[in-house]
Amino acid sequence: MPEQNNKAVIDMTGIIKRYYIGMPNELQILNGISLKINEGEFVAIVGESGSGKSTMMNIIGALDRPTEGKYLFNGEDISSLSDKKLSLIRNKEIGFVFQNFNLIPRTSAQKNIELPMMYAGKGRKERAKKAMELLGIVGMEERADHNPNELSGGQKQRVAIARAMANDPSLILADEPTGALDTKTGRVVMDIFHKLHKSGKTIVLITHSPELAKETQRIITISDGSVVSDTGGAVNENF
Amino acid sequence: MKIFENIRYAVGAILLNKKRSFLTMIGIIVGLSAVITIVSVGDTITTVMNEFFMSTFGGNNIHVCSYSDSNDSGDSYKYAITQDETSHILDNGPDSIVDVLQQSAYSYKGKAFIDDNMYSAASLSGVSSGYAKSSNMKMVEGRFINRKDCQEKKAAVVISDVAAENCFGSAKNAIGKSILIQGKIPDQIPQDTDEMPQNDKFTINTTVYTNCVVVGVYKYEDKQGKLKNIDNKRSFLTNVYCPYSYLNYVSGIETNDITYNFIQVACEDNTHLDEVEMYLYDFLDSRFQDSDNYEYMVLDIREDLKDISMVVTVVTIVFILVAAISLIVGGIGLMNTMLVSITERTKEIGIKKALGAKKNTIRAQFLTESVIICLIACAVGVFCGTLIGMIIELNIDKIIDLIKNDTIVYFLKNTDIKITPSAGAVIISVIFSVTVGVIFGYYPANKGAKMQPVDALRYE
Repeated sequence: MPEQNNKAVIDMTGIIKRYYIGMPNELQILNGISLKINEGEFVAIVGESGSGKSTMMNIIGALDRPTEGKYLFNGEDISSLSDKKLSLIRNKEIGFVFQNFNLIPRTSAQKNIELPMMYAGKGRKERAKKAMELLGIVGMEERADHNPNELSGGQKQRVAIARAMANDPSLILADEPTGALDTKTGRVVMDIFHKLHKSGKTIVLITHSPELAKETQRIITISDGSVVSDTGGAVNENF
Repeated sequence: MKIFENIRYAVGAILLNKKRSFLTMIGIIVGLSAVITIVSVGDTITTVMNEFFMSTFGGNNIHVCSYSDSNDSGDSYKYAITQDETSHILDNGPDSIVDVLQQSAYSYKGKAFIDDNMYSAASLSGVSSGYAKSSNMKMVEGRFINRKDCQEKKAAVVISDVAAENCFGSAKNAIGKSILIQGKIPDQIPQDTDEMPQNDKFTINTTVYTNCVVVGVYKYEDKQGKLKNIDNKRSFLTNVYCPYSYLNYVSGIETNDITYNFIQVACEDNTHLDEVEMYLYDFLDSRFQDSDNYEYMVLDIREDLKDISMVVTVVTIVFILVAAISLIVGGIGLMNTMLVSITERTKEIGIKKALGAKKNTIRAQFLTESVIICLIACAVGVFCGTLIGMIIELNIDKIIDLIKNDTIVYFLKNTDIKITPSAGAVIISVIFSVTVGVIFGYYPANKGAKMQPVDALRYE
């Protein structure tokens, strides 16, 4: 068990997300979620489809802004930042791993990993060195020059994890990372997450699978836009 | 660094849809080929016209015309400008004045010879020292007639290399040798009525037989290839030049009695024309201030050349505007393609935004793509434009034949006409294509840049 401190990476209070605001079909997806995730935690957010966990992920990942509520990321309120500032947060502080890998087509594994570093303005040599290092961590050095269409699903996901690590983010946000993989390759991917967790990374895993969730330290269950259970010790408030 | 990555990515995207990219480029290619062709042809016309006027009228010459209200004048044959004035201009004018061009009143046709076997057909003309420069004559040996020859009416001649070979075997052998020249005035008409003294006090010698010394040999320019086709080179007529004063003298004319209404002042080059013109105005003002009957004008060719290039420029601009319509149509095609391309890559934009790409990054990426499409189109357009220019160049003789003016046709046929795009034309094309790329690429690129990451990621 890695050492835990009490520095909160994510600190949400009363997060509400509504769509079609002011229209007859106005829809409230999140009903005031409050949540705190500390540095070094490995958390699973579980929920049925339609429970609001994807919206939750978009807000956690700074891809979207909450309609109401306060979201502190590393102590900074990002609930109403500009697009440009949110881009910076996504670039430097959050590493995304998607269900369907989302590698850039026609671009080698190494170049895919270099992309976030390029956006961060890092030099060519530094980028190449770090990319190879990360490929080593996920065991993909030999495929550095391969394009995504030349890689298997498991290999793509390993490259995607390496890419998520590119700028040493505070948080790795994985959305059903094994959803498109068979059991065996899914295992490999999960083992990588465990390895990263042991090295001190904060990981939030979004999944509908209770088996995967059990591997984590803490399970947060979402249903109908609210947190219905939380096995962890952090603040847990239902409205 | 980012630019390089953008270019690499853009080229990849263009190559992925080769056919679509090519079809998009066609409109721009057509427009740019037209621009290149028009600008090259315009440049060529300007250059050739400049050369034509320069060689026909002399780019370094200043023309002084005087006209008099001769009805009031008792002696109507007298023109305003006398030998006194030409000498004064030469002696006291700015150093850049090389000569006041003069010609003998008559020229003679006949032969130059040593004996019955060594001879060459020749036409004897009297000229002044500036003639060689103003007619672009190249010397092979020796020198041309100089001012001293003219002042002293020396029996010095400059012959062609053809005549030198016929009479002396080589140009080198000819220098310093004496040569006999025999000739008569063709049809006994004055060569230039303006310069002929209209005074019957002279008895004109219609034939000459004179012994001269060869001081120089010039290169005969065989522009029409006549010399090659002739069997007997001795019968090939070339010019022999002697001082105008000498030829007037042997013709029985007193040079000092000749007056002019028109003189050409030859200058060293065209950089001091203004200075010389100022001098000429001052001088002629002081000469003619007491005379109401004489008016004069000082002209050079620069104004005419400016007018010609103005006309060509205006025509070129009008044609470029027409070609610009094709560029606008091409640009709209480009915009359409970019919109499709961006919609296709919505997901990719979403991923990049998730990885931290800013609006500017996405915008730059797609703008690079549209500019590169235009630059490739530009390269192809320059190539096609050059090709069209070459086709025109190959058929230039047929086009020249359409011109009715014999002098111009003769000049054009003897001029090496090259229709190749100038650096200026290429720069204009590059600027045009980059502008089209930016203007018509901006809207689609901006549309891509403004996409919300969540929506873009969800796009299938």
